[in-house]
Amino acid sequence: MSLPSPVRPLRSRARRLVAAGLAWSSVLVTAAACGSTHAAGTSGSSSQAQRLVIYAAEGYDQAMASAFQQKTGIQVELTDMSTGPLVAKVEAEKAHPLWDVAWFDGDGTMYTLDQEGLLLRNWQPADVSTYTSLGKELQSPDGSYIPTGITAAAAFAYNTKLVTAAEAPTTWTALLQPQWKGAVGMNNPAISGPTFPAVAGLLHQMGTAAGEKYFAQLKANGLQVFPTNKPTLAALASGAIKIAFVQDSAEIQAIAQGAPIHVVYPTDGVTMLPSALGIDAHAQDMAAAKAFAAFVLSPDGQQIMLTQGGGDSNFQPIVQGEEPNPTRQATGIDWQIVPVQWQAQHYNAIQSWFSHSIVG
Amino acid sequence: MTAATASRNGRPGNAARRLGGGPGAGAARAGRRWALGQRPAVLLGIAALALIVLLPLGSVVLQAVFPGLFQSPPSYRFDPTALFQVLSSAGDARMLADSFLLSLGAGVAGAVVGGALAIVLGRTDVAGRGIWTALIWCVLLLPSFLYAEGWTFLLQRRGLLSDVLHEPAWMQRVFATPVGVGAILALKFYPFAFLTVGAALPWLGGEHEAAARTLGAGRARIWWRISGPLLLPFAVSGAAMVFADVLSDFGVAITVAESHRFPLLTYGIYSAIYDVPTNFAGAGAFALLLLGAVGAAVAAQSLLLGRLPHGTIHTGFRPAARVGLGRWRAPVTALVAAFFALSALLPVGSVLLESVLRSGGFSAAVEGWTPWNYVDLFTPSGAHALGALLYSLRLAAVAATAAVAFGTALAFLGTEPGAGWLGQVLHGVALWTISIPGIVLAAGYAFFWNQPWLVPLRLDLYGTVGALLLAYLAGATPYVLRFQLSALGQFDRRLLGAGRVLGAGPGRLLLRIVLRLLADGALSLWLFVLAGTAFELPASEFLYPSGHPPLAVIVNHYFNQWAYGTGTALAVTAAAILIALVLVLRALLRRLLPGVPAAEPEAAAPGPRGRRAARARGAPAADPAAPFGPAALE
Repeated sequence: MSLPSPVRPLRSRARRLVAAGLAWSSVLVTAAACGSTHAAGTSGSSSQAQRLVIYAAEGYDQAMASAFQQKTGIQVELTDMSTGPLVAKVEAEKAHPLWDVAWFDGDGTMYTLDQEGLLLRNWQPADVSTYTSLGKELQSPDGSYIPTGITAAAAFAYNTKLVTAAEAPTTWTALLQPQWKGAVGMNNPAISGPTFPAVAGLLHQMGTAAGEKYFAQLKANGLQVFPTNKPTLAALASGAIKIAFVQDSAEIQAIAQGAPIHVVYPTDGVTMLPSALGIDAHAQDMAAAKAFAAFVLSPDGQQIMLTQGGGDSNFQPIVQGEEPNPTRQATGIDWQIVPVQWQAQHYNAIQSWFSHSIVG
Repeated sequence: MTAATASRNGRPGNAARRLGGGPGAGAARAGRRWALGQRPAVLLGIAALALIVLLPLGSVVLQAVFPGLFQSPPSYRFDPTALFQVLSSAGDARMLADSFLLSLGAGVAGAVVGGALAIVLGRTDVAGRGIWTALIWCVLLLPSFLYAEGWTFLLQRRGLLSDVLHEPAWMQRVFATPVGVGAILALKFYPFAFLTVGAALPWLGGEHEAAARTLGAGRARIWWRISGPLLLPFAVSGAAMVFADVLSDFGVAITVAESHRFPLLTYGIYSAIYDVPTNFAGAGAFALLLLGAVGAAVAAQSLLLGRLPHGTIHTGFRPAARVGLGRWRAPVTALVAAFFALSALLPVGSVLLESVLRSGGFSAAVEGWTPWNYVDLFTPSGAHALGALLYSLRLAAVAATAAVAFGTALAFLGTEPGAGWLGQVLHGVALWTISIPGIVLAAGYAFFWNQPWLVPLRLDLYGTVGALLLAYLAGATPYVLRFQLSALGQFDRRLLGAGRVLGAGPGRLLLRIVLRLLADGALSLWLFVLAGTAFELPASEFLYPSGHPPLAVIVNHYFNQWAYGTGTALAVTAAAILIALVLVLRALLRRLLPGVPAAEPEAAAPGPRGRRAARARGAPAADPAAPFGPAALE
């Protein structure tokens, strides 16, 4: 290896500037290039093909989006995520919304978005008359969203290897009995979306004072609170707990996955959890959004929901002429509705009470 | 001799300055101009860091005291209600304390485990070093939510565990306690400490030990008084990274732990974000609290250790000898094997197992086994999923390149002589960014890069792939920064000074010395960022352009629908592609740039002539057990 010949050093200041500038500009160029694509997409949409941006938290949302695009030629762009971050995204975009349609479980949540002025009001799809009587009761007070299906916010599931059918509890008060000490589990409403309506439903049904007392008694009887469905049902399947009360569609799907559990609907009240679809007040293409809503309620749309949604397909339809999957109990459920106004009014108080008294 | 000292010596100090300064020493009048020349680059670098990390993060944190900042129309009223609520709540104080203690414990445990493993694998002749190192990489690259899925799957199954243990419930209860969760988290993040200590180890020359031995010190005493303290800064740096990662983790805590026993700070942040309407002010308040706690840890670390670890690569280097374990070899190997069986094979294996079960749910019955989860990926019905995988890999490659370039450039600026303050600041900022949960940074992007006044400037990146890339960059740069700050700080400036005396310019110094020594580590960093970004979930979920879901979003979607078999099969396929990429690229690099010799086995050490001859031949590639070749990866 020969010695390198003396090289005139380049000016370090220039070199450093170039290095830093290169690094930084490569980042910005990439970003700007992508930014311009986005900007081109959102400006002058009326002169381009129709485009629909959907934020959804349902298992059948992708299938629905593809089917709608195929049927109408409208370009559908779907963002799928769980309800919690989805609502956060909608809220974060308040100053400059990028979405047209929002679709998730929880009419109470949708109502709150409406109260903030985020939703289009006084619209209903033409075929709203096809709702069942249950569906009609769930319609939005100011026409800002439509219900698309219901599940039970909480139904009992018991471990069949540890509990026989005869022993299984059939009422909420039965959970307070001594044989279920330390053997009952539920989710945390602060983290798990469907659990808030379940808790709110019980409080609404029993009255707030009596409901809070009930939960205090449950806690005294060793109630276990897990963050979300997965650990709760895992604990149930493994025998760490014997009874759980979570969203019934999740329980039904766990059974399909081989979990040794069985679903029982408490005879003294099952709180409904409707899934809701709303349209952005400043949507780029209202017509496309409304067409999508109509498609969801159509027989084709309902079929897609019932067959291509994984766990979410285990819902109770509220459109006439549609039957739930055979995995579901179709009749004999004492459905309880919690008015969305009541849910919104008591939301903070209930969450705060639960996290301090039951979880804490 | 630093530039500062040289300049104090006056004009004759020019030659001395060349000796002491790095590539930046430059021309004779470099004293003043060098400082000035550095400033624009530093400003540029800090501005870039602000745009991609600090300002978005600030958007969320500021809402703790200015909740109306991003309303329409915006309100600049100072309203610290949310902050006071969080500060005054006893429950939240307990949450903070619990999180802090858990993370501290996991950090220390991770550092102990990682450091011990680094020493055992790097300095002893324990069997199977290549396999153990590969497993450590597997754990490092496995995303947190998959790792959690692996453990949950194990714990929930009645078939497998109950047949073996006859009492699976206790396992779940153990892992629901703080100690259990802390252990799982430490086992996920200890590889950072392993890499930190392991990278320094080959460069911890044998000359210290040899000198001590001639003075009569025993091996234990050498480790206790010399090698140990020399490695301590790296172990503490590794512990800090484990601490920060555990603090920000949500994937493991939410799936394994029972929240009612010890709610963590990340629960507080998530429950604020999941509130209806979303409580960004509360999330900002929690984030502020988190930053304060981490700031205290960073300050403590700085006080404990003084400046950054430095100067272990120098001209008097002699590779240290590898210790022969003798009759202890079998027991130590067994112990290491048991550790890896528990910490790596169990969660990784259970993810693999889950991917070949029909429903990946609750039944271990033989009739549940199926290859279709994988086969379906390559049929038209799996095109969507495979498309997402390739999309993520492309994005990750861009993000990895940008992150390594940007992070290395920043680290270079931060390790210039006289720029110690910048290095400390960057170190602290990096740790802060790592400790914030990804969803907070993502929400920050939704606020900062979606502001209406950016629209006419065509800079409203939110909703485009640009924002996603910047978010990936923001997530990856802190890791690159921390590693490269230590790597570059390890250079004894005299090495570079020697090159300059021989007439090499800064470019040649960079290419022939610095980059050669850093190349292996830089590639490892690139691969680490690639894998981490490909599997990244919180920012991806929040920021991906509608209609173009990345890999982790699809996997998570399958998980939410209880299609765990399909989800894990997709994840395993992606992991296989990444591992293949890792192996191919590292082999290529070994061929192009042979590494520096690492520790030689004591027993088989050739004589002095043999060693000289070996080095003259252009030394063998770095020992496969030495973490990632030369010291670059910290």
